Amino acid sequence: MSDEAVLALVVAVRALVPLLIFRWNLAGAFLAIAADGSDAVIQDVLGAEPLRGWYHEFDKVFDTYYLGIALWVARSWGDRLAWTVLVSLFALRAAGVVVFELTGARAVILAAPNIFENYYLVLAGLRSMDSGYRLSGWREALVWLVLVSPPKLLQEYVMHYREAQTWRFVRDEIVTPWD
Amino acid sequence: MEARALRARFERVRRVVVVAGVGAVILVPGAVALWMLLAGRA
Repeated sequence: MSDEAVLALVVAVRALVPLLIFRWNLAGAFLAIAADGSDAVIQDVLGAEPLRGWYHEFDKVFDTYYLGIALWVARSWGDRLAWTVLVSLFALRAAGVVVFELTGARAVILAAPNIFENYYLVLAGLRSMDSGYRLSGWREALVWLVLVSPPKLLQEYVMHYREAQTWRFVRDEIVTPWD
Repeated sequence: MEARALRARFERVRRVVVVAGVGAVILVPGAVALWMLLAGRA
């Protein structure tokens, strides 16, 4: 498939799938995260690499797009504390992405990890089980923050700081370990 | 099985799926990252 066709497909997936978050706060987020990981897979499977050389810029733009949709949705939850935490985490990440793009300093990505995503998933999950769920106070907010941060920090370190090829590792070790 | 019991069972299964899904989406990428580090692939 041509580079242009693959690029159009990747853009369509990254642009359209996150819109499902508006209808299904949790399932839409799951699908948006899957779409986030799909671009490397789509390029690999279809044998074209239109994002070579500018993947990180492309990825960051669409990451911020779907996280922004999630933030917008969370505004309607009527949970002031959750909103405050989510806005803070989103702002930290967005500022980190801007500074990283301007300076190229990878340490910035580590200092501004995408913890927003995990925090949103926990709250959307809790709300899907109890639509009236609210954070009970700062203590609970902090407990969730401590619980969801370590996996994301590890992921940021490996994927964005060390720039390891996660999809290639998953493909070689899990999908087709016999090759 | 009466409708109320069926609904309750469905709700229990749905809760398990939600908890498992959120847990997996949060933990698996971190676990893969740790695996890559330990395997010297990062």
